Amino acid sequence: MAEKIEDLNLPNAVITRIIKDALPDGVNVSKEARSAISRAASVFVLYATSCANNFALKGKRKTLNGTDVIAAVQEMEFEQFLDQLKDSWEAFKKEQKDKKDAAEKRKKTKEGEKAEGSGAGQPSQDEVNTSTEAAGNTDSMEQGEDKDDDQEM
Amino acid sequence: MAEKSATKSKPVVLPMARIKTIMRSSAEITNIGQESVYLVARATELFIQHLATEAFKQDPETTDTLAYGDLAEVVNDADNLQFLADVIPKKIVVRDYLRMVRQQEEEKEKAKQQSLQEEREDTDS
Repeated sequence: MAEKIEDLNLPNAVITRIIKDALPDGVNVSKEARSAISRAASVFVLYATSCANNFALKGKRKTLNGTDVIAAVQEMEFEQFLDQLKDSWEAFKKEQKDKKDAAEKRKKTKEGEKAEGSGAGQPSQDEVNTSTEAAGNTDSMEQGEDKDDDQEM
Repeated sequence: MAEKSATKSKPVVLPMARIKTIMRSSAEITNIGQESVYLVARATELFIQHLATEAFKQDPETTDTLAYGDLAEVVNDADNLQFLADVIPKKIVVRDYLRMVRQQEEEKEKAKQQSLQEEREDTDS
């Protein structure tokens, strides 16, 4: 849930950039027009979500998926967005898959390194020893300080 | 990172986290898949472009500014923008508003007198 009401607005800078990119160069956008578009965008998100949710309910699914959003956009009579949306969707799915593959690959190479590293575990053992020694040193030092304190008392 | 995604697919510039927050603020929603958030973000971006360009086309005489009035005009005219009627209403000047109110009152007055007259006729007969 949104904590503050501002959390339901989209960032102004981003909105401005999208508007500027859509219009010819040098066109001014009045402050009023900008805030109106920003409000409209938030309402659009809610409207699309509600429409998509209806499709999810019809399909007896509890989670909104991509097809629900596509169907919602169609229902809202923004058919002109569909081609671009589907292209972006494909690209997004591919990207997600690549990411997943890359993550798995990384995991595998990590495991491989671990298997190799188990043979050469000696240095790490040494490290542990030195660190415990260091800890012991600080302990004794602290005790020494304590004694000093006692003497001063 | 941003450059990398720009070459791969059209980058979504709207923040997905914020889009998800807005989506979740709708009471009936339970679970939201990641790809649906992405698609809503992308659709919203296309929507903003659409709204801006349509409003800009509205007034061919002023080619240097996009004003609120142009937006209200588009929202009023286009069928698929009807859902914005309350968000971007047409503005009217006070003079017109007062005239509308006066007109309404006059009509009411007329109707009242008419009904009174009818009543009188009824009792006469």
